[in-house]
Amino acid sequence: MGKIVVGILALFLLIGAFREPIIDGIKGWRTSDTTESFAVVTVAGQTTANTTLAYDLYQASTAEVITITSNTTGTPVASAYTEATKKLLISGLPASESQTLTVNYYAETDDTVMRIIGPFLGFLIFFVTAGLIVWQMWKGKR
Amino acid sequence: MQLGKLLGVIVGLLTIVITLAIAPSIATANTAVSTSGNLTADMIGMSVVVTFGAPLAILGLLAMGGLFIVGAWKSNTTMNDMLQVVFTAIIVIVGLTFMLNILDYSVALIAAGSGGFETVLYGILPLIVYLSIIGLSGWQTYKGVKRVRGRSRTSAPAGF
Repeated sequence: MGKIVVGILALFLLIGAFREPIIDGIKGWRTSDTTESFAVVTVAGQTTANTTLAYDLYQASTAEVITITSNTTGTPVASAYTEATKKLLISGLPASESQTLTVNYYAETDDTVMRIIGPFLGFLIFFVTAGLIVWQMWKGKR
Repeated sequence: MQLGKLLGVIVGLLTIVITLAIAPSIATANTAVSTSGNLTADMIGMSVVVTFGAPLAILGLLAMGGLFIVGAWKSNTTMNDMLQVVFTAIIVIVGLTFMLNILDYSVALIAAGSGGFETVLYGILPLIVYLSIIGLSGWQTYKGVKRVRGRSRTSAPAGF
């Protein structure tokens, strides 16, 4: 009985307290914090601009853009990303202005092996660990 | 005694988190080796193994975390086990940093040699050193498996 309680607590720790550090750790391994600058010119009525990132945006998600800052007015935000072309659409720019945008984002690693195993790492760690815990609980029950 | 098991599980999970935290450093050290100008065509097999060396070493260390979780149920996981993983990771990082010098020395040896078989002999040296560094994590895992099994037979008390 005690082993089952410990097992349940261990599973709770795995998917509770340790979930975030593990996910962050995987992300830290798979990505690098990258900063790039782009010179952008907007015409009258234009508040968006496309920029081409040097590296793949992690998980092709605009949520992985950490910050976008401009040397002029406006509050630039990442609104869309095209994975095939690495183009990041930035909106919230002031019209009729020449500006420099600094984009800080999580770039996917160039390591070919990591690109293959990376997407499975979370599954590997969580399910194998949970499997080991359940297996030990089962052995303890018997 | 059940608390000892839970602490063992925590050590296992902490080992996984610490390994993942150290992983970027191992990957960076490995990238320095793979992009080194001294990594010439004479370095037999290096261009192939250097691509998967770092992930292999990190996965080996991650496996130790899983092993500790198994050991926890037998009250076999101690804080020393976690420290051993950290030390192994540090040794791997330092070893990979030294690899740059090994490559440098090998290039010098090949240049000083008379070619032919001598080039092959000097060219294989970096591969042996590199595989030894990467294999260290796997060896530690193997030793860990033996240790956990050994302790369970003697049912030693937990180290907490």
